[in-house]
Amino acid sequence: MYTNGTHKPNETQLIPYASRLKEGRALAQDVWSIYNAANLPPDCINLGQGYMNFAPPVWIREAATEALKQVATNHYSHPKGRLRLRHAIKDFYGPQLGRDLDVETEILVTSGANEGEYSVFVAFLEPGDEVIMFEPFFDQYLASITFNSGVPIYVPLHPLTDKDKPTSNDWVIDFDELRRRAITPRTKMIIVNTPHNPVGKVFTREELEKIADLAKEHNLLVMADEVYDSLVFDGKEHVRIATLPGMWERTVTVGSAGKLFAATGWRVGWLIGPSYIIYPTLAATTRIVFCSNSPLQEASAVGLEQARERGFVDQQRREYEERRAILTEGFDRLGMKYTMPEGSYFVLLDVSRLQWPDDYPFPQSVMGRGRDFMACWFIAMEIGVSSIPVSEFYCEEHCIIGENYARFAFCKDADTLKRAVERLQELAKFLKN
Amino acid sequence: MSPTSVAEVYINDTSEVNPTDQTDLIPYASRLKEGRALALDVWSIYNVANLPPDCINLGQGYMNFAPPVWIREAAEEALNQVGTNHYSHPKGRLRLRQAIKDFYGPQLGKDLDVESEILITSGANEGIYSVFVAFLEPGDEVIMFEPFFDQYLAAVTFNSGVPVYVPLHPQMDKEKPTSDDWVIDFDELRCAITPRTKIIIVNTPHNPVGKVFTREELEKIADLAKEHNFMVMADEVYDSLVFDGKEHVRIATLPGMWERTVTVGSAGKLFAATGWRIGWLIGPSYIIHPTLAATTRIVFCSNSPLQEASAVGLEQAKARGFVDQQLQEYEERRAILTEGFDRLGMKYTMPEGSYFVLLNVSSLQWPETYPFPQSVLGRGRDFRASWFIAMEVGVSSIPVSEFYCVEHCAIGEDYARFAFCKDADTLRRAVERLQGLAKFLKKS
Repeated sequence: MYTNGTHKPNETQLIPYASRLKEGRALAQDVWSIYNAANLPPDCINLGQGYMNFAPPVWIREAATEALKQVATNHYSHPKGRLRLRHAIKDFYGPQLGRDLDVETEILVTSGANEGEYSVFVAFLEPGDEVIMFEPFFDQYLASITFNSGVPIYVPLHPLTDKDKPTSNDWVIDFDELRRRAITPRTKMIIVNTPHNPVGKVFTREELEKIADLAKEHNLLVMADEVYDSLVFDGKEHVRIATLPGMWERTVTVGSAGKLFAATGWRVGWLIGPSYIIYPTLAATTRIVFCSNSPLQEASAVGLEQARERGFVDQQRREYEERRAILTEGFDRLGMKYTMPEGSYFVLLDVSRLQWPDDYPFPQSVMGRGRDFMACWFIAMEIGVSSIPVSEFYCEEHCIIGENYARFAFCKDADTLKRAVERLQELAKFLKN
Repeated sequence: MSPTSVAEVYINDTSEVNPTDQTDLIPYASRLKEGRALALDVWSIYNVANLPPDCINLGQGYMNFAPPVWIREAAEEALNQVGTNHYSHPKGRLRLRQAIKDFYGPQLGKDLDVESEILITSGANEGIYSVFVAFLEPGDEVIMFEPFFDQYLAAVTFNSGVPVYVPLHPQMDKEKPTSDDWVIDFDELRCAITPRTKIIIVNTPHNPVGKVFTREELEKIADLAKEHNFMVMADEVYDSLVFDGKEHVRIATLPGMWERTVTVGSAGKLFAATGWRIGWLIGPSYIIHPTLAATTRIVFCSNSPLQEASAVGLEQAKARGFVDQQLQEYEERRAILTEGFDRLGMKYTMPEGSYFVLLNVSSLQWPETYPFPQSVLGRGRDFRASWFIAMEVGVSSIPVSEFYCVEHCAIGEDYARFAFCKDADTLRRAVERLQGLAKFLKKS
């Protein structure tokens, strides 16, 4: 039951909602509500939901202000997205994709990457079509698929984390499992989220080649959710599956201004792909949102236009590497195991050694869920640092894998992360030896 | 016309057909074949790029002036903070929900609950879409009055619904018809209702007719809604634009109707900010909550800085006398355009609301050999009229048969929709140009 704003007690539900809402956990209480800042101690340091505690760069916000001063940039954009932004996307991504992108047919601006993905599902899923996703999965995928009559198919990333210092590269795909159990004649799409949320995995070229081979063999559409593409660390290569042989023609690549420019609330994203994928998706998004908001599209264009010459992406990456170091060194000091992420701004902390009194007063919303829910609640209440339980991002059959982990976001300024790390040291007394 | 391939149908901004250089490896979903989703839409055909560069654009309904300075300053202020650049709650920012409560609550006669009865969406459009996701079972019927806002159609069919059309009938015998003379045949409406009827869309003030539904008309619709237990989607995005002292009646305020109505509003129309994509839904929690579940998955949340600015807009609108002043400005604009039609001697429907006027183009004629483009030739007579007016006198408009189902489009063929959401000088220039149509009018 939805606890925030459920229907009022004496209100009759005259007209029933659609049965499609019963799938995909659409009506279930989501983890974001349970761990919402409002439910936690007021001074809790929020390393849960993935948004920054700093604003987008000044020079990009100034571009937004400039757009607000003009007339046209306050009014409807073309459903494809403003031409300036499509050009900026072409210039920024074209070289990375090795293509001379057509701004009229191969690029589409959407109201956040989220809405772009939703529109792809509207445009391509027939009833019963299957969509493969790796677990843990970004929770928004689920209902987007089921609302559009699709069937989610889960393939877990297996953590081979026996070693002392596991990295996200140690979360591996069992390709037999993918080939034999996951793919069926009804498989329509596979979602490849790299860098991956929440593991931080940056899929290797070899892994992507194997996925690509299967996609070509079974004629699948690949949704390459690459919204964290600017955050790849340690000099590792971000490989775009759309650049592999035979893959441009069956891949839609997803990008996000929110992640790139620390502007998660701007709701500007983009899709890049061949016209036969982009055009139906355009037809879908035109009916869903008509167009995305104009002033922040314009500002995003300026962001892409100037990012390189300002050295913005490199500087941002260095800042995130510093943030990652603060948090992971904090875990090291504490003696708790974690997966070192090669990308994204998330770290998975292994909470299996954490223990709490048997009679600890967990709320009902937490009691019915995996052990990680209790761990995250305990850490927030006792230590004052919030995080997100990872079993939420697994199907029920596999959620036992996720129960060992809590996801911490390091998209926060260094001082906040240092304060969080100091607080986290208090967990030492709750650790099983 | 039926397209042979997706790419061949779509005409881009330069009116060129896009070639494909690869096979369509994966087919698109069959739901796109319904609701005209892949058809060449009227907005593309009459896009400014296809028209003479100095054409005065009275077609698509957006303003050629910016939102009020004091609201744009609020957006700038929001951009200067941290939180207002990041994710909002899927319900919408609390400040905006509170502002909506204070602005609309008195109008609805309700003490609105900001947690369960108000929802912010990415434009009214996305709010309407989310309601359909949340409530339509396969085969559920949605009644809409014609001419209808074209976005309703695919939003219904994408979600397995079935659109059912009930035309507004123009009673045009009088010399000076108004939008009130576009009437509902309530027997026809009653016949349109079936056991599968789930929702009726009541768009008032109405786009494109400008009709402001009377209390009596709404009471009759309400009676049917209660009798047959269907939901009313009250699309009231033009609620701030009701002229001549006429009353904008909200169907949600009628007896027994709050509990089955979702009312739709829009910052874009209210604040001359059509590109901001901020709208809202107001209704009982059993309607709002599933719709919230839907919109959370579709967009997650709406953009934060402009939500904040919209809140400021609603907070200050009354104290600044903004709505009344804007209304006066639109009445002036309406007068400029309609007096221009009077001078020309062309009949039109005087709109009681919205910023659209329907011009009757049946007396307009053109040479038989006139070089219309292919996209226009296959459509109704009004398509040719709108094209001709744009090309010959340099004023663009939207053909109205686009907003009818195929069976009824003959009703729409007599009309072109002109928008007067433009500054007065632009409208005066447009009116002068329109006088050039005099020589093309059939003498009666």
